[in-house]
Amino acid sequence: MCKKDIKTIILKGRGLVEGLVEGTALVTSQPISFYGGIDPSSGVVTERGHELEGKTVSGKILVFPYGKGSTVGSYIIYHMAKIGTAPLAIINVESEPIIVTGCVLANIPLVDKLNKNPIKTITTGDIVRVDGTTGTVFIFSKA
Amino acid sequence: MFLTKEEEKMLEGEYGEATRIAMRLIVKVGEALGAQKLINVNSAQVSGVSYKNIGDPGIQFLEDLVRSGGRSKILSTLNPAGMDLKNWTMMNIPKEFAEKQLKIINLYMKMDILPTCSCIPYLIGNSPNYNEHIAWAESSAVTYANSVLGAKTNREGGPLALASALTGKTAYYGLHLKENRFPTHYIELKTELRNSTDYSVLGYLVGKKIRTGVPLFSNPKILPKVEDLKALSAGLATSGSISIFHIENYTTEAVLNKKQYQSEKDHMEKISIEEEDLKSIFDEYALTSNPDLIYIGCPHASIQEIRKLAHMLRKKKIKRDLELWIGTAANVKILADRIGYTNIIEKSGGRIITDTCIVVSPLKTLGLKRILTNSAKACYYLTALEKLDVGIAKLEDCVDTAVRGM
Repeated sequence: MCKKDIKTIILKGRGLVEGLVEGTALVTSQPISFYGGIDPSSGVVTERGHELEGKTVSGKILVFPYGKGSTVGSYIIYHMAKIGTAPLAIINVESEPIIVTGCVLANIPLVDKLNKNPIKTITTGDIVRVDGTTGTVFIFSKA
Repeated sequence: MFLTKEEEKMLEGEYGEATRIAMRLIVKVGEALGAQKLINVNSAQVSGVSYKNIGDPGIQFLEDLVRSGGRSKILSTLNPAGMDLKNWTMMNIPKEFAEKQLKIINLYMKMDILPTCSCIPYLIGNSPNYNEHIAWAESSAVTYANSVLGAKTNREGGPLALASALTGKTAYYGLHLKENRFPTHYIELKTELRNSTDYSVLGYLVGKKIRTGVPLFSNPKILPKVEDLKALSAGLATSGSISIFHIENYTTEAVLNKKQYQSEKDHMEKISIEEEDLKSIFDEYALTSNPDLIYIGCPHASIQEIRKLAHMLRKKKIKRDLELWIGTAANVKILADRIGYTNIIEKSGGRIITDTCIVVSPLKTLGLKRILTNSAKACYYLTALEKLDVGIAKLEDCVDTAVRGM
């Protein structure tokens, strides 16, 4: 891509789990349950009626409001990281213990409480760089 | 977050890899929740025990922790497993499930966590005192410990409670702070509460109405017993995210803070509970034909409940096509075995199962479809998770149905 076609937006927030990664965004306005809502072996969202049903979260910069459901979800994130089906990084509106625990155990960069709502600012398909150490998110979207 | 020198050493790995992993988890989650520091806890109740819940990902995590030297630093007990650890063949548990379940228990034991496998740790040796900080999972036990015992704990998830076991630490926030334990709702009881099932339903109802907050109940005419408070705790935590309640002139903090509660009462949201309110839940969970199984023990039955059941079942026979299961902790059953309650119950056709609860056992493989129980918590989870047909009735009526049918 030519540089001038790319619009860069920088968001500042809270870095909860360290790490610097860049990947393609997958965005949903609905909370996600890793336990029961995602098939860990493939990374495909299986929750009936979920906006992301049928989409895979593996290797994506996964953007969603917060986690929901059982705390077993943390173990699922850990397992997905071990077998290579986990998201590359997670961006939340506000993280709760299930997602924080899973990302800490699996060393997945996690950022939340950004100065702009990430669900409205980031679009599925955008290239996003997440710096979990500083809590910075760079969005490279097509202008 | 402020950390002591000792805590920093733990975080830097001076006490081994497992301590480092656990400490990092507590600090990170604490930071996310806005905690300023950590505090010491005296006991942990760890959930995430049933193979049905944690599956192979859970086993993998526990194996990694054991391999990196994880050992509990404090008194730690376990939540129910997915089967009776001794008599699992009697429950028709598939062999593969049983092997994985026993493996999970062994991994916890390697970390010096006691295989109590029960949701009533406070009745079987893990019973904290007033003002003691603890880190417990298991929502009904959390609510009981906070409200009845006056201990202080948040409603931890499985991995975090385990991290507290391995470090003896938790983040200082939520219900560890006095100001968050103050009542937000006043619940006026305008009906008599006759038994533990009424308390179970009351809890479920209030949880459903207020969802979150700290209810202060008016003083009931007949003071609730351990079994009633156990049932109320479970009900509240099931339908709401409630982890503490108070009863006027009865529970410890309500007695200690009587004047303050009284003067603030006008600012609390008021809800009254009438006879019809309780009835609506009994109507919601009503069976129209005979159940396959009658289950008592959600939360696990106390020795007093087993005693009552044995007295009611003496010289009675349970109908041939019905099953009566009583779930409890292994060490409660030892007492029942010794005095002969188990024998009476088994002679009538019932059985006592230990270490598990039907909510976390693989019920579908057991072929059970219709269940009668005395617990609103069991009703809710068996309906929501297992899509079973479930009814609720008080203990005496459950026994009556077992003997006579509906």
